[in-house]
Amino acid sequence: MKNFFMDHCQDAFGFMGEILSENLNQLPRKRYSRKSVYGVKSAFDMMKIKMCPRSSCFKSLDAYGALLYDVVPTVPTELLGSLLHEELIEQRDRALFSEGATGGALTFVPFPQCGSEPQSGCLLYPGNPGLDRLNFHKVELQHSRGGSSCLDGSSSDPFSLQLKGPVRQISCASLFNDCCVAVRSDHLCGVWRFSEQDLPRLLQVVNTREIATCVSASPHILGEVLVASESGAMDLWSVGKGMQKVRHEDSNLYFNAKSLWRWGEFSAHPRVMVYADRTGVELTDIRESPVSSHTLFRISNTSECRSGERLVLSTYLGDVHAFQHLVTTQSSAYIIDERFPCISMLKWDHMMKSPPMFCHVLCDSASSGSAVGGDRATKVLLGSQKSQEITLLQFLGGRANATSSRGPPRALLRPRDSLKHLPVQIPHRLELTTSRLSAPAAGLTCIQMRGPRGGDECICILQLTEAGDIFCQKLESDLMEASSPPAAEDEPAQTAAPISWGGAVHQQPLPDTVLVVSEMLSDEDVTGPAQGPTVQRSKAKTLEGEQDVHSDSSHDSEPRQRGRSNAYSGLTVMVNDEPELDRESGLDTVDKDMGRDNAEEAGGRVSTILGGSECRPLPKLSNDALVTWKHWLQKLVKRNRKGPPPRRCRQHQAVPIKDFLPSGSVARDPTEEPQVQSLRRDLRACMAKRALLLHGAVSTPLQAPAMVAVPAAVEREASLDDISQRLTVSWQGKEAWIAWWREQLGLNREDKVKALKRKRRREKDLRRAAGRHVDLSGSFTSSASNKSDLSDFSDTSGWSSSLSQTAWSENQERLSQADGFQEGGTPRATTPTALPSTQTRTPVAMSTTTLGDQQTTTNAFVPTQTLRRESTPANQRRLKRPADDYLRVLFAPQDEALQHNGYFHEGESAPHNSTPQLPHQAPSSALRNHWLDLSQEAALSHSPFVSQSSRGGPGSSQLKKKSRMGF
Amino acid sequence: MDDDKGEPGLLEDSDGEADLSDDKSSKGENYNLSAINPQYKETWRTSSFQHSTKTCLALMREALLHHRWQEAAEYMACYTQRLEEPKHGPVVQDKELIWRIGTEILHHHPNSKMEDYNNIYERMKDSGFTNYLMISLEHSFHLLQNGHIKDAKHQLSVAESWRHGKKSAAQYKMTELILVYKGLLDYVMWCDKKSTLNRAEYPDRLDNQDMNNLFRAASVHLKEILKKPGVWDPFILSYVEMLEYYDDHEEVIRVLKDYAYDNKFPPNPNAHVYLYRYLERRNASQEKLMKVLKVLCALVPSHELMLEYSRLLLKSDQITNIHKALGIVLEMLDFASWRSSLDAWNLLKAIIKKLKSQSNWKDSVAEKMAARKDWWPALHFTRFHASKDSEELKEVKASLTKVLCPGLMLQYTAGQTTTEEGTGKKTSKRKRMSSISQL
Repeated sequence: MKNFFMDHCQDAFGFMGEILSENLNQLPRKRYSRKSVYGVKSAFDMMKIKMCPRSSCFKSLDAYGALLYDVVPTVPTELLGSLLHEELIEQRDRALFSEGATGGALTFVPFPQCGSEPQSGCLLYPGNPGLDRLNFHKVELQHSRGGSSCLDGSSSDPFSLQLKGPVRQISCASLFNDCCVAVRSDHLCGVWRFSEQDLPRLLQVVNTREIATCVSASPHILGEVLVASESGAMDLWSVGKGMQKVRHEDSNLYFNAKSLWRWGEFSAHPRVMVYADRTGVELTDIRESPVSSHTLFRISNTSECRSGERLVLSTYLGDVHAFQHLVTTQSSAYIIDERFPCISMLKWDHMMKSPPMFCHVLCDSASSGSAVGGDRATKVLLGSQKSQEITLLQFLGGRANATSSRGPPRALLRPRDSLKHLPVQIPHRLELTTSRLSAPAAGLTCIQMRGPRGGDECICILQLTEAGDIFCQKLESDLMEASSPPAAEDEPAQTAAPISWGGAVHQQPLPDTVLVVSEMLSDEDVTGPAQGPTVQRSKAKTLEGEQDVHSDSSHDSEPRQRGRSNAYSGLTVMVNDEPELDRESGLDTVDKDMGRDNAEEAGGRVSTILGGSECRPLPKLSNDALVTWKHWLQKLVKRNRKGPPPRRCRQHQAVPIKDFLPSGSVARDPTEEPQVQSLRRDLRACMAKRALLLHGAVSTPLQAPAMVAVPAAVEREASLDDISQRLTVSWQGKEAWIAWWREQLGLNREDKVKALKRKRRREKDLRRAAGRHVDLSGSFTSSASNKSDLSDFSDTSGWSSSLSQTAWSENQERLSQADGFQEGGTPRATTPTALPSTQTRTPVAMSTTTLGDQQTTTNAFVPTQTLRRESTPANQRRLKRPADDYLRVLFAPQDEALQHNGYFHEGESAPHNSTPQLPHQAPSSALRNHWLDLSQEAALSHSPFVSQSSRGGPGSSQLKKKSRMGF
Repeated sequence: MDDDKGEPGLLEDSDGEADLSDDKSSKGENYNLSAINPQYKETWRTSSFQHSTKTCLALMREALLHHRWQEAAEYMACYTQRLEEPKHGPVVQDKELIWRIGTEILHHHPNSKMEDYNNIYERMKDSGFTNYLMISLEHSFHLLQNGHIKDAKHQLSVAESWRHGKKSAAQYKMTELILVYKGLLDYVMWCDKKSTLNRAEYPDRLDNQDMNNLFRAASVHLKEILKKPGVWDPFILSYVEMLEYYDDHEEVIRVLKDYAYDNKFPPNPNAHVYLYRYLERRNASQEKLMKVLKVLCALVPSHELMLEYSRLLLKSDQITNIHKALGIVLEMLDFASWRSSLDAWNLLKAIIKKLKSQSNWKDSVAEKMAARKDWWPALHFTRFHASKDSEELKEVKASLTKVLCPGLMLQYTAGQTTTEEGTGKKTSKRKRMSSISQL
């Protein structure tokens, strides 16, 4: 909390600071010292608060923040604390693992072609730092064995579109040469269609109410897209025709994983969809009208699932095998055949540090020639987000032969590792580039390419980071290895001669001029040769030769398949990293100049860098790689120098507050006036005595709105009487309180029998209530100021037992659970178990007074509670207490409920007033019992106030979201 | 390969200690406490040691993931010191780690030898009893993969007779696996014998005593395991092959039917396929075959045997069966793998031809096509398909378009390539403007 106040003082204190600033400015200077906080307070207490909406004194706001952090928050601390906690949890989760990016926002669509070279296609990637510009870029992969290879995007300009939100996922399906692209951002999903000749054109966009979590284009029928969202629904979207609900699940499939993430994929049948969440995968058949579904994969049911494992991604491997699905979890990857559900064909431990969220699968056709049995090896590339890992897994079979893995997982180079292989930089640049390179990954794709001969193959792996860079690395299959005869008897070790890859330097055949690619993305500079950083950096790193042997991981490997172990062709890994197409958006203004600079400098400096690189023994870099690298670096550095990235703090707007809080509204309230005055007197008296302020007088001005709200609510409530009576009595001690309850019980029973009398009594209550509430608040101040009284009441056993009596008395006829409460020894009845049981009770018409009671309980107790809260932080030396309080606020849900009852009572009281008219009160009674459980628990944790007040929250379960809305 | 040789040596030293710390860890604590060394020094030492082992493990992981086997082997040689660590002695996980990583390195290291394998397997087996069975099994797999079937079987026999206190559930499962693999190895040897026997003079094929012994040994284990629910495809195949060799057909039928129809087993399409294949071999009646295929059809409607099934249905000449065949073939064509299969389309054509003899054939086709009406055109009959399908297929498909999708204007006609775009596309075009404004 303190950190929040320090860092976001403007948010926390902006309004109050603004309100107070003028007054404060007029005060003598010395009063700003820490000692005189109370002086300041009393000073502006005396001068009635005046609004000065236009005044802004941000400089001094920080000072106020430090000074007044626990006294004048704009948002009450309890509320702020809970909200802050939620937000922090959310942020932490997001930082660890942001599920929005699942699937990846980088796709390559190969164009069908007659010749094998060069492989061309369309690369789809998001641009801009916000990743909100969708680019369609025609690229060619130029490659010749043993040397050059590059991704040439220079032939055409990218076709780009500005979208409203960041691109989260791009899903692509192509039928022959027509291609359908589904793009997902948080709330919008769009579908484009393009082909080699045609420019992309938008077909349709849908808006999802909840955050969309998945979009998946159908590989069967062009123009069908599956959209899953956090609402738990999965829709089949036939573009141009509309959405059809496929499936809707409010909860997780197999157990409660507390996750809203949903995923949808197609399967081998166009009308059977895969519906996945964190707990498992189901196949959903929509041909029948009540959609039928059966399990495909289930965490904890599939073999050797560890506890805590959650599904991360489910992919249909349609291109490779019509019936196979790849399911990944944090620790493993499974291949599952939908014809044989629930049993994994293959399982790897992928050994990645963070869960794999991106996946690309390709079929290795080249090595099939030498593979025994003609089975093709399938390569699975898994990419993780935070740690940028890419892991290559390979497997064989799935058709005639059993599926078997080929070799252990292999990690590929990550962008952040590549710095080691580049020329040394001066520290600040190093830092810059490191942070840039280690941005989390946002997508992964792969370009497969066949050489002129069948065996000559290379795959080019592209990885997108959230900073907008695309890195490229290349894997080459090893020809020598592939052509070695699969001599069955030989030990693998003998055939595996260490192979040197010294000559594997990759060159980029592009002259410098080609590098100057005009990039239309940089918006304004279209006229000039605005050189986008569409430069290519290829960085060749040679890894030592490797020999992969088919390991014996497959249990049913029969002896006659032995020979295959040798048929495996090792992959030589040559790595080309090229942050191609680094489209930084901060560049717009700099682009033009930089382009020239780059062009001029390129020639001069390459040689020097090269000289450096030649000294370095292992990672041999090609010229062009370095040139690209240099360009990229220059851009980065320049952009950074030009303007340091705008600080995160938002521009705060001064909003006129006059309308929100009419000046003098507090003071003018006639009923409030004497209270305020008396409080001030108290305060002054305390200060004169140098005594500790024990009750909430300190925060009176802050509380003014709340104080206004509460009496108003109370006045409107007809049935104040019971509860206030009870409370008043309760201050006198346990006996009196119990005595009161006995009396009340009699009344209650009578009530139930004679419903007619109730009305009359309510009228009486109304009359009594009118005169009551002043006494009430008086009792609070007096009792709250007396701490010893409080400690008397923290005698928990009495409270919990009396509470249980409450429960018992209210549910006399429905004994099912009340016994448990009465025991007092089983207060830990958890809500899930308690809820259903209470719901099954026959809803006897609750007396309206009971409900009203609860309502007023809440109301009446708000001041007490806040008073106590405020008095604690006022005691500055006891820093632990507020922390404890906050913790309690954060972790006890009833507290939150209390707050929102307190602060947003205005809005909620109306519906509750109406509810008693209904004959049946089953839900609310159930809820009340639920809250009783909680309160009982809380009572044991020595917080009688909280428990007592929260027990009356029938509406408090209209959940946290409300309070957030209010916030 | 110095490292690999150094490795076992280290292991040798550490083995005794590992066992000690396994059983008497409390004793070890006492030694430490009574030691004169101040405790902070001890903790500092151990924590730094732990730190370095942790680093070593991380580096080894990197090396392994990048397939730098030599480097990993060097790290491994150092990492085995973890087993010697006095205070927080190696726990089971550490041993398992060393075992797994060690064998993995050996699998891929260019200079690894069989002796190294045997060495590390044997030593790891002795390092504790929790992983004994698992290591034995993997050891035999490795031997098996390198063709040492006898050795592998020996390993399994040793593991079979190994006893150590009460078995845990995992160990029980492992024992089962060991037994069944032993059975499988018996079968393998039986196969070897059979092949040599066939080349020899061939007196009476059932008279070979060695083979009979092997068969008996194998069948004991295999029979046992096949009673337990699970997926036992390779085992059941080998068992069936042996039984068939000895003409025990009742047993084969019993085993296969149990495997296919027993509800305790997971629904295994292969089981039905095996049963079908066997019945086919035995020239069983068409009814029997169809019965098997019917179940298979419910499990996997896209199975290639469904072609066979619909042919059988077609042969039976009953009208309900023809309708059924139509449904089956249409469903097959739903699936991606059959979409451009000439066989399937031809079969569909034949079925429809046969159906046409009926009076209300159009209704029955329309009934089957009702659910597919929306998406079949896009699935099969677009101009893209027309341009890609082979001539022969195009002809078959084009002839069926009118029957399957009456009343729809389809671009799929033989010979025609350029047509205007589909209706769906037109509407989407119209919506395009509005959708752009949304973005």
